[in-house]
Amino acid sequence: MLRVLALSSAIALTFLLGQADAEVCGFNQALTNGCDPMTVDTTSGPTSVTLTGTDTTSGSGAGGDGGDSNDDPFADCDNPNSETCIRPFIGTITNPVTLSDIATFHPTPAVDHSQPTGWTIIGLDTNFYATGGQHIVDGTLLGRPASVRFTPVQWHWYYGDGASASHPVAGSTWRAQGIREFDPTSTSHIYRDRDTFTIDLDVEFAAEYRYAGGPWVPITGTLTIPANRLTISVGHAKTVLVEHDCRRNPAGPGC
Amino acid sequence: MPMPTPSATPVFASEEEALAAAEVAYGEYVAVASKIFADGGAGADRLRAAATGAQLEADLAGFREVLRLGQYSTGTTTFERFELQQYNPDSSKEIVVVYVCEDITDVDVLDQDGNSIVSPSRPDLTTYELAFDVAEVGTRLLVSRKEAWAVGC
Repeated sequence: MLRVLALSSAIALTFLLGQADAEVCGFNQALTNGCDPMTVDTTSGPTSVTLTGTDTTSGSGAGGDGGDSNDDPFADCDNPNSETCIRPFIGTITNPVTLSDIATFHPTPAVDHSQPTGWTIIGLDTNFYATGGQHIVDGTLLGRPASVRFTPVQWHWYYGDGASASHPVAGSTWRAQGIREFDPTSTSHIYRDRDTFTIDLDVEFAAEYRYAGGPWVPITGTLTIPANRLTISVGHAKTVLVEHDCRRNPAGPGC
Repeated sequence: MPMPTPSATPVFASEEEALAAAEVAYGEYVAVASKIFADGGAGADRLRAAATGAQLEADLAGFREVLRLGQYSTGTTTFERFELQQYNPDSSKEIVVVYVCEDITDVDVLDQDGNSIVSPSRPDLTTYELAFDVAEVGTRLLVSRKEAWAVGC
């Protein structure tokens, strides 16, 4: 359970830091000292919760804590089922890095889009898609310079009408998919009521880390980061002026 | 007979138009703010023509401090790569939100004795998220929020 606990604390902290950092950047401040980004901040402050000085082992993990003798005050660590082993950090990281270790590395939130933007029509497919892909954030991990690579793996849409959906793809525009407006896509949604809805998107990121020049090492679990909120007005479309009827223009709206 | 009701009067006909207007508005903001800073913070009220809300408050407070300490700036701020993040045609607050890459390599900030007070850790390239409100009079855009999004572009 240790790993699960670590995961939820990492997420909570990410939200907290994100809110605390949201401030406008004064013109003179930007030119004199620079403003702290909303996302990654490696220059200022005790926002770190890295486990420097403490190595937390979760029993089932890879890597050795071998060589322990029986008088080890942290003998719990010899028990492969132990979930409470905490030992002093001795300089070499041999145990799995957890999400809590990378809490100071913030993935850039994805950006949610809809087609059409801001409005849509009852009974037709509204196409939602997200932008923002794999990216690398540099910082300090357990006291050493390191990079963390975030890869979006799952997109959870909450459509505001009570429906939600999880997709393994971010989706894309109708044009990019070579289909017509209001055609269904793998990430589209149909609204059944006339109202204004707010749409939220949570993106799950998988994380890997590496120290200079080393190989990428996956970190167990995923981080869930909210994207921007969209608002959409859903209305009827009883009357639409089109240039020709469907026989003359089969590609026209509604044909 | 509920029909889709169009919003009062759309300020912009398209996202492209909104983005172009944001770019013009930000150009004015940078020009005015740069002039005020070059003037040592004097006449900061000129910024009311280009900024509003929290951004205006922060800038005015900053320029009061600049004036008090006798600081001033030299050089030119440039920006490029305007990217639309959101266009909210039904809202006058944050009607347009964009990303921009700003370059202040050429900018120096000096104290009253002419010594540079630029922090060694100041990034020269920064990506900002900018939000614009519609001015109460007319359809001009004003910068209402400028937040550092990432160091570098």
